[in-house]
Amino acid sequence: MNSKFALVNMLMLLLILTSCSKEDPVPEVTEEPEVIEEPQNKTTGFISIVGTSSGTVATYFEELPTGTVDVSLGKDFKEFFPLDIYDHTFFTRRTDGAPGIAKMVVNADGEIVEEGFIATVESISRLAIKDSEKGIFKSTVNENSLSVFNPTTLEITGAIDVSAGFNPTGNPPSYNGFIFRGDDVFSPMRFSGPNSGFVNDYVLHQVNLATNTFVGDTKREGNGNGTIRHGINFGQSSLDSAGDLFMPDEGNYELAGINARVNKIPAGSNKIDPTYIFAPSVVLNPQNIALPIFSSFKVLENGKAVAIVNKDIPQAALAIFIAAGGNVANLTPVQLQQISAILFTTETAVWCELDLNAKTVTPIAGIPNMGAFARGTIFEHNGDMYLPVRTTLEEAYYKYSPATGAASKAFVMTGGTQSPVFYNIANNN
Amino acid sequence: MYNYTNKILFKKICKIVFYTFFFMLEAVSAQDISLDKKITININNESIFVVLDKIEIKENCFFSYDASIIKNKEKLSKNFTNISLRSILNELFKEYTVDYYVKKNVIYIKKRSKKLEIRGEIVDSKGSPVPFASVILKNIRSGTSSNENGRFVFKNLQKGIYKIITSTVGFKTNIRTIEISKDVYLNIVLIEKIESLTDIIVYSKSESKKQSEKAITITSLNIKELKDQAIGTEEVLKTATGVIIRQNGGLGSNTQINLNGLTGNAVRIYFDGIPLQVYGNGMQPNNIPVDALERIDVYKGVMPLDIGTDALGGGINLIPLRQSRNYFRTSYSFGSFNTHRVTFNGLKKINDKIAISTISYFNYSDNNYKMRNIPNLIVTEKPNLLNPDKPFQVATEERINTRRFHDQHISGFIEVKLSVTDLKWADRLDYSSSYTKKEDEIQHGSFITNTAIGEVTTDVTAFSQRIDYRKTFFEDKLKVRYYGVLSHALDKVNDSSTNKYNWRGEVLNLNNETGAEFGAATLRERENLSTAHRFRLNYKLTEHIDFNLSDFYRYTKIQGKDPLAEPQIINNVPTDLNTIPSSVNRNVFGAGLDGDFFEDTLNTIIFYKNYYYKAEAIDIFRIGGTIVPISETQNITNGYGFALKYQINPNFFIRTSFEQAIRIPTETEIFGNLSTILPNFQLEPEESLNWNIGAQFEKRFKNNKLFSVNINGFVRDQKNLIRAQQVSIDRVQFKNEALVNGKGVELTLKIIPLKNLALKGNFTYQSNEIVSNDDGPTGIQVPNTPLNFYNISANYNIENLLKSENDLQLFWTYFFTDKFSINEVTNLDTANTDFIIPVQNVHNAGATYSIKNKGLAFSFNLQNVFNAHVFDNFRIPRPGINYAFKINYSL
Repeated sequence: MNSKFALVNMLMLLLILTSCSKEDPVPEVTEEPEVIEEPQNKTTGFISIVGTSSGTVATYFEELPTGTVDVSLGKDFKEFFPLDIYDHTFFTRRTDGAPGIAKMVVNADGEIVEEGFIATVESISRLAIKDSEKGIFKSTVNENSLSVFNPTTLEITGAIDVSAGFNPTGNPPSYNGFIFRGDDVFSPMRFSGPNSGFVNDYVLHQVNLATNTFVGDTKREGNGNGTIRHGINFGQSSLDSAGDLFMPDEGNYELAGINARVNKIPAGSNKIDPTYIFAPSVVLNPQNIALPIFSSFKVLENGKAVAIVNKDIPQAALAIFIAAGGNVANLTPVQLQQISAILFTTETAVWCELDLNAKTVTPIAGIPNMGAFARGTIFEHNGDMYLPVRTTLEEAYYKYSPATGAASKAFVMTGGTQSPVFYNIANNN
Repeated sequence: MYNYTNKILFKKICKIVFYTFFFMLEAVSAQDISLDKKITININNESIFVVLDKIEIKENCFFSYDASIIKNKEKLSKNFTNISLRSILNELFKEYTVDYYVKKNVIYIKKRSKKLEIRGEIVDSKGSPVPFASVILKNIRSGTSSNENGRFVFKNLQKGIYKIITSTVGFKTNIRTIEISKDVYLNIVLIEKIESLTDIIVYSKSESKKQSEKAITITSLNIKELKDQAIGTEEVLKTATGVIIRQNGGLGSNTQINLNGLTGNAVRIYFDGIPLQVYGNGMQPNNIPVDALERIDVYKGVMPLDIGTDALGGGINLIPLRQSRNYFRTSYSFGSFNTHRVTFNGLKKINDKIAISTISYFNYSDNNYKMRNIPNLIVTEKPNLLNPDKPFQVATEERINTRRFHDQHISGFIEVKLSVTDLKWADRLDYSSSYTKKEDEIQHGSFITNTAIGEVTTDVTAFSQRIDYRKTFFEDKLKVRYYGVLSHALDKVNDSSTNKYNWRGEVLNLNNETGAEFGAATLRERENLSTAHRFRLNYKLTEHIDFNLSDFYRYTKIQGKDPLAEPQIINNVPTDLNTIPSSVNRNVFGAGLDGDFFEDTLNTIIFYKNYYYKAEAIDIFRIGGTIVPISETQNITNGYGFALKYQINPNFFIRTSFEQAIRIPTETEIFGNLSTILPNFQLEPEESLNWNIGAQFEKRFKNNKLFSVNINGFVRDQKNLIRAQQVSIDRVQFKNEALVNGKGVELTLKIIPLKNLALKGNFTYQSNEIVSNDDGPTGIQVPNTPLNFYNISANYNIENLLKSENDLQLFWTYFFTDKFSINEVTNLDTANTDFIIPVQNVHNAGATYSIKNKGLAFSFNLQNVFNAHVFDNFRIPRPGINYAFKINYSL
């Protein structure tokens, strides 16, 4: 039976093979050259970042989430600390925890991958990209100098010696950010190490990227009673459309009577305007002497900005203060610590719109209060600002329309051990 | 002559018959007399013989005595009215050493013979004590058993000849006959029934095997048979189920033990029942040679009263070498990475009661093993196009294979012990002094980065004294043991270099702003005064129930200085906070009952523990006033547990155990570190409900063949786990937060298919899932811990190779560790591969050649035979193929 079946099959095969004669025309096939397109990295979408007990998880989202989203399900890294975003590319600290700068993108498959890195000696905490050819950061590889690099090639292209700048501690200079105005870079100094406790002023250094030279310095002078803490936020959020620079500081946390201010460097000037005095927290509540601070400052259009402004003095903190005779000098170290803990945890801060020219502060309705030290990264999407809101109940982003002044909850984030933040790849923020 | 002799014989026979007949008549007719009978008798200048006659007549009784024992022929005068016969006799014979006793109406008076004792110790052929062996005096049908040190005693013996029969499982029965006329001390050597390859084929129940078969789940590693091998204690520990050893480098580097998924402070390590920290951190599992130990007991989640302190996940007790007869043993090994290890152990008996012994070791290693594909930073100069006069430096990174260059380890330990036994007030008293020294160069931090550490060093010196007292009372019903340690340790850290190194060992041309290679510069010195005491009591309530009590107390005081620390202003005076002492008092009290029922087939343990601690340290929250602000915190917590074991038949048992375990927070967790870690005085102890359930089947066959399987399941329900949480911009604080569920299965398989071949496998599967976390994700595995790991080993013994009594032992061990992530990840399959430790396969092999009659043994060990790329804690590379050669000599 099997042999008969095999025989039939062989005959059929023979028939098929001989059915085309040699004379049959062979159709000519014109082969089109195959174009293999390089897979393109994502230029839109969002990345969330959240800490875990062992590192950081970064998650890519094609679309802006709604409702509640678990942000701990993405890719795990030892560290994912964005320093700046340029051309849809994240410049982060190296994600394996090694010192240096990593260039991270979202590839066509939606995976967050490294495209290269710059090795450094120490962990880099501040960096800024001016354009495709120039970026700047501070590294100890060159003493008293800022490093200039090419963000495209990740090549170090130069160093700017800043040793001529005002440096009240005498320690190697350290900076809290880099704000561009053309080729000029303004950098608020960060003081730590020996002698830093005796620094009172808010100091900015200025360098020029066209010449790689130090330009000068400017400062907001303190009152001699305490340190003015540095303050700056993610990205280039300080230059308004008129060319004025608005640089926030954080005043003093230790009841030294120094309010956090917006400092203005007028267009065409390299110096902080001493006549421009704008302390949003005090404007919002002139009685707020306990912790007159604001944070997450971002300049919008038309002389407007948004920030989280601390408004109220918690009653519990006030009671301790009154018990001490209403005099800061009478507070014992224990009472100071108690007040500090209350101020840290009580939700007395609120998102506000600031008018930088009129120096007015308007709370944004529809957003719950937060702790005075609540921070976060603002991102922009479709003309709306997305404001991070951290309360004891939830971690969320609220959508705020500068045009209408309306705010509403956009989405809630869960997962992770530290406050999650979102970035918009399309808008580099 | 013949007739005369017959006459005498005839007279004697008649006398015997007469007396026999007479006594028979008396026995039938007379009433029994009691020594308690009260009588009245007046003695007036009469000899003692007359007095006895008067009593015989008066009380119708007889005295039987040898007149020669009554030497005093002086006459007596005394009236006794209604006085017991015993008291009268006591008075009459008060100057004599006599005993009297009654049979029927005959009062026998005999010269009191001295009561004699037979004491002894039972050892095996290697001189190790054989505990719990049966010792019988056949003549008088009296028996006892040797104690845990192999010692035994018979008291109140008469002069005479005794047949002593000594036996225990696995040894040939020893029978000897001795005649005693004074107290004697015997050394009885039991000969094993078979030669053993490893602990797993010892017919006799070694102490480690007995530990392993207790109701409480213990993995006891008998390393006596491994002592000739050129390996460290950590290599032995690795073979236990559920145990992962994590080292930060080579020999002597910082070590952590992961036990059933728990690690760090959750797992306590003890040296002979005392926490290792008391010895000043100079000793750690990876610098103690195997020669120094008798065995290692690994307690899985449930700690017995007499060992436990506060351990959340169990503990490891390193039992030092114990011998009870004269011996001397030394070894020297050398191997890769310029590693040299020397041991010197011995015991000398001064006499039957006094012995002096020592355990000592010395380690040296450069630890300069090669690491592959390491990132390395290079700093080069580059021309400045905009400012040609000012060239600038650029850092770049390369990948290299490099040797560690700053990881030298030197450590030493010497303990001298004086032991006194069989005193009236102590069965045994040990006093020992020990000195520990450990010096380390530090090569890197927790992770490997592109720069190396080139100058940081640590140094620990500790001096300890220990006293150990044991005594039994009431015919061994009550056993008491106390041991205590007083130690003084000085530890130093030197991180004050302004240099930065790369992995080529080059100093980078940089300005190191911090003046330190890690964080802030330090030249810290800390004095650590520590004392620990444990009191144990065991009382046999009934034949089957023991009452146990244990109390452990530990006090630690730390004070130091750091000339490079940033001073704080207290009362307008710059103050180094390290100079302000901190102290911790801990006490763990426990009580419980042990029961053995149904002919010892059912063993039960139930216990209660009470944990107390009180700690004092500077409170950085309150610095700035006029006085040094000291804060105090204390806590009392209770724990409890039980264990059950049922021996279904001689080959098979099942067991379960449970403990609500407690872990007291550490000083750093409570008081912070004076800088980045804030104190938390409200911190609660960690708690864990630990369950074990298991079974063992073991069957022996002819020709020493064996099949044994032991399976153990465990559940750990941990709460209040202490984790660091960020509380301000640059500060963290330890808080009680996470809740973790651990569970797993362990399997130990032992097979002896041939007389000289032993196979063993230890398999572990475990899961540790975060089920609740205040802010963090849940449902994920605790990072940096594998789910599966196992090891398989084979030993083959070739006896009488080349010459009689010369043995060659070949051994091989394979370790498998499944892949795991060092990050907290939701799914290992989709996790970032950059942080996954890949599957690791490591093979170790070696051989030991023993010349027994000369006490010599030579061992060669090859680690990581196939030069696999393996990693340790947080992806720290481990050495590739490496060797060690060891010479052992013992007398």
